[in-house]
Amino acid sequence: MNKKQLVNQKTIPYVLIAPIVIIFTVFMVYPILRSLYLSFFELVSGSYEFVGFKNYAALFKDKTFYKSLFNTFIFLIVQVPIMIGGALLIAVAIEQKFIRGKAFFRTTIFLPSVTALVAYALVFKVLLNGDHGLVNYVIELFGGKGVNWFYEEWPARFAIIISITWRWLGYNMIILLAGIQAIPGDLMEAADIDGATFWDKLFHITIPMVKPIILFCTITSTIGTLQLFDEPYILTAGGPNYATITMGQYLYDNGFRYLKFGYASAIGYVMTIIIGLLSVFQFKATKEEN
Amino acid sequence: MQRLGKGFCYVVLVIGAFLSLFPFYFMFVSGTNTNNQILSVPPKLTPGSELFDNFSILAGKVDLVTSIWNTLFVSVVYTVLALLLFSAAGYALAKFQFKGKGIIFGFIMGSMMIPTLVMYVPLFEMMIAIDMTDSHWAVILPLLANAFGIFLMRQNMLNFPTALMEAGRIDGVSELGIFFRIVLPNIKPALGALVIYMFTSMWNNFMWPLIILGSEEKYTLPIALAMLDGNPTNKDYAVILLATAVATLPILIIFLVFQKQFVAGVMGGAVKE
Amino acid sequence: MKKRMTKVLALAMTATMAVSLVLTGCGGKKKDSKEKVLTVWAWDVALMQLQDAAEVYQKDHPDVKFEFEEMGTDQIYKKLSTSLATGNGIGDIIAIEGDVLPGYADKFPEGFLDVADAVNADEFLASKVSEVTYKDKVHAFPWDAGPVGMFYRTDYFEQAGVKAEDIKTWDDLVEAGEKVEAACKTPKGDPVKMIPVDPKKSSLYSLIRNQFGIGVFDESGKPQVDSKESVAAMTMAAKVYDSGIALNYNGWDEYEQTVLNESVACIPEAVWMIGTIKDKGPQTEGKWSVMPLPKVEGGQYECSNGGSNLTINAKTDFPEEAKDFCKFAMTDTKLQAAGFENYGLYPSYIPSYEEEVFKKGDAFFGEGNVYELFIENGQKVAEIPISPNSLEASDSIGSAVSKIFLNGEDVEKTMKDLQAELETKFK
Repeated sequence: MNKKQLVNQKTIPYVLIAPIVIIFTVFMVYPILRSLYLSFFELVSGSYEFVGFKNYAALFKDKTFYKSLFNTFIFLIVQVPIMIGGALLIAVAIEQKFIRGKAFFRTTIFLPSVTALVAYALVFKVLLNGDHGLVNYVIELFGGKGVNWFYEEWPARFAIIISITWRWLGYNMIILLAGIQAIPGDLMEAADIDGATFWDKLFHITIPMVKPIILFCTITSTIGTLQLFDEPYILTAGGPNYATITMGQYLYDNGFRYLKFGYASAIGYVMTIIIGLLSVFQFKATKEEN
Repeated sequence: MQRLGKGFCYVVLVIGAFLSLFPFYFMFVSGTNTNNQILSVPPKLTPGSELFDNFSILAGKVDLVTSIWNTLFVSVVYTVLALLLFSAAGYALAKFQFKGKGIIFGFIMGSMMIPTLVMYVPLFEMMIAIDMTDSHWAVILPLLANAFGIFLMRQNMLNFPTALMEAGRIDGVSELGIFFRIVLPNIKPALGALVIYMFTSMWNNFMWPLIILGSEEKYTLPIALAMLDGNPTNKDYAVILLATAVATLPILIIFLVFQKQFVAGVMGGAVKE
Repeated sequence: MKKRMTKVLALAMTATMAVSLVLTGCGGKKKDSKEKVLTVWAWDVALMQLQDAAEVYQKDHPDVKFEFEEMGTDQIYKKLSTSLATGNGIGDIIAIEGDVLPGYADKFPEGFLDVADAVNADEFLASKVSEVTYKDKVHAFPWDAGPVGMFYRTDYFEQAGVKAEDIKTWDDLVEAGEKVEAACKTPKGDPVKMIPVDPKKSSLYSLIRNQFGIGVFDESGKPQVDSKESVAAMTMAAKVYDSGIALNYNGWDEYEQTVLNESVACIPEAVWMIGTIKDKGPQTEGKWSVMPLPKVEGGQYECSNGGSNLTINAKTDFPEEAKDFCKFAMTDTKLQAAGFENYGLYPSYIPSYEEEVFKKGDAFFGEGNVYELFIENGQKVAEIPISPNSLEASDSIGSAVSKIFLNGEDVEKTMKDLQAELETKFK
């Protein structure tokens, strides 16, 4: 009987996936090919001129690009572990039985990821102000020396790291929370009976159990950081001396401000290759462990 | 030891909540203060009395009703389409074997790695070619090529009990029937997560709608509000911040309504109801 | 029963698709072609000024209708970057800032309408005419100009025993700045700094370089940042910064804060700053005045900064109407005077300066006519050739400024490196 129907067990997967395949072909494959094509051209007086590998060759000699690559990797190496660690810590804390107001903490800590950028930028500039900022005030309270957050290369990088962490920690926390909730309750109870401490449970039960989710968060955060754009754009405009410019911002500057679409496309493809290699590496690394 | 853990947890959470809430609070409070109070060092952090004035400036500059309606329209349509198409695709990728599956899934995941910025110019050229610029559908359709949402649904479907599908087949339910009447109702938490994720991303989306929408009556809220930030030499932060507060409220509501599902569904499958 | 369910769903999906197609159709519909409607894109004050102009214009041209859309500067540029190639989906009349225009004029030479026949070059400030002329085409109507002067706080100067007329050179400024810092406190109790400087941006260096009358690029488009004048300008800028009289600021919002918090005694800025000062520092009424910029040895020109121009989309359906309106809006002296009075848009159309507003000054800036200096300086700004690469170059210069100001690197060497970098970039 089923065989007579057009949609049967054999054809159903094609029916289900068809719309997405069409959408991806039209709105993803085409733009990818077209921008790849454009990366071999440059806009000269209103029309695209073929320049071969010139954009790529220029990119390999472009100091600003190297600097953006360096910065992006600093953000990646320093910020992603801090953020995932912090998110995990908070998720674990919220899931403790004795904590009251779980919904309140969950919601407030998630809020930054939906805050509008303008507000975020103004607030962080105020908080990190060198002379009157709250952060320096606290540092000086503990006897430290105030930091010139936006006018020195490394402090500016850390200002960006602090800001991204603030914005995206809650988002990752929510994802990790889901994983923690999935840990069977009897595991924890058994541990309690054995007299395990908070830290024992954290390192021997929770972290191993949510490892796949930590990996998921790490990969999405890595991709996000490699494409980072908003924070340097609004907080430091990439400065001082390109200390905070990212590949994403450099791509934007070239494409939308300097109007070098070909060059911007070339940056985009170099970025894609880097992101791809890193993701493969991360997948491989975790597969081997398992 | 247990006690140390307890105190520690509360300290972490309270600090976390305070830091998270503070800029948010600043945004809402600033909407009730004057421009110059916001720019003072330190800025004024208590509610003021300028809410009405700021709001009337805002309402005079932006057609709030139209732009909220536009944003709602694109966000809702986008979310509904995404729910339908992504869960269908996720279901197919998780529960069936078919030709080209590996390539399709690989391509979808791979597309996450390409910086979206490089695609806007080709997409825009395409929209001109098919004469679809300045329409809400031009905002919605290209953004349906969203790998994260599909991946999320696939992960959730992986753990869906195959036995339930088989039972349906034995009862003579058609294949589409199984999808709509057995699978979908059983993955509500995942759908909840997708609603929040899709709705939020569309509600806040800026760059693509800005490029593709040409006329004021089609603007979504983020675009309409960004236009306020235009005077290069004299800015009115009170109005800008009030506007952003207005734009953030609906997201807040959506999150509060769907957060239970969101938490349960975001990494999905693993969580039983 | 079950089959019906799926059919209903299938139907619903088809219906959705159909509706979407219809809606799409609606979206693409063109306006009634008989009606002459000009869509105007501009930001805030620029938009309001054009609205006022349209109101007057329509009295004599009732057949021309307008649609005004408020667009932020950033938003206008993002849209132009993607759309100017085809002219599709952008306004008929578009306001653009001066330093951004050449980039578009170079990449999209057919993007804007040539308005050479409507712009009488003798009637506009020469520096503004050169700003809108690129490769023998006039891409825009010159609109507001930004002649620069030194705004200063008379009360702080008095407290410190400093006299404005004694500040002739940048060295004098440093000397006076030290006195001001020693003697004056802001309302919050901090020492008052002399000038605000963003150590990540090229502004201070550009001001001094402009006094030499040269740009980043020469006539042929070759970078000349390692020229004698350019190095001298950077050396002087570094000297001013290193002396410690400058207050660091990061971005526009913090720049405005220096007015609000009364933390600086001077602001070297264009005439449009009048609006910001009045708006962000209402409590300082009567305490401001204006003097010429300190001179640099060998520099004989005045500077300008900012200002915008009015372009017409070359693909507009109504080129003649658009041109006629723009010409009216840019050359009606009454309108120009009102635009300055209401919105701080300082005209580049020279006959406007005969209007009453420019003769009576502004009480906010104390006795004497605050505008006199700007009117005089506006005509002494060098005609610097424009370059499509100026935005990118200015980012690179900003980086060099950071190296010199913040890291204390050697001026001469940094400028040499910068020259090499710009030469590779713009080969």
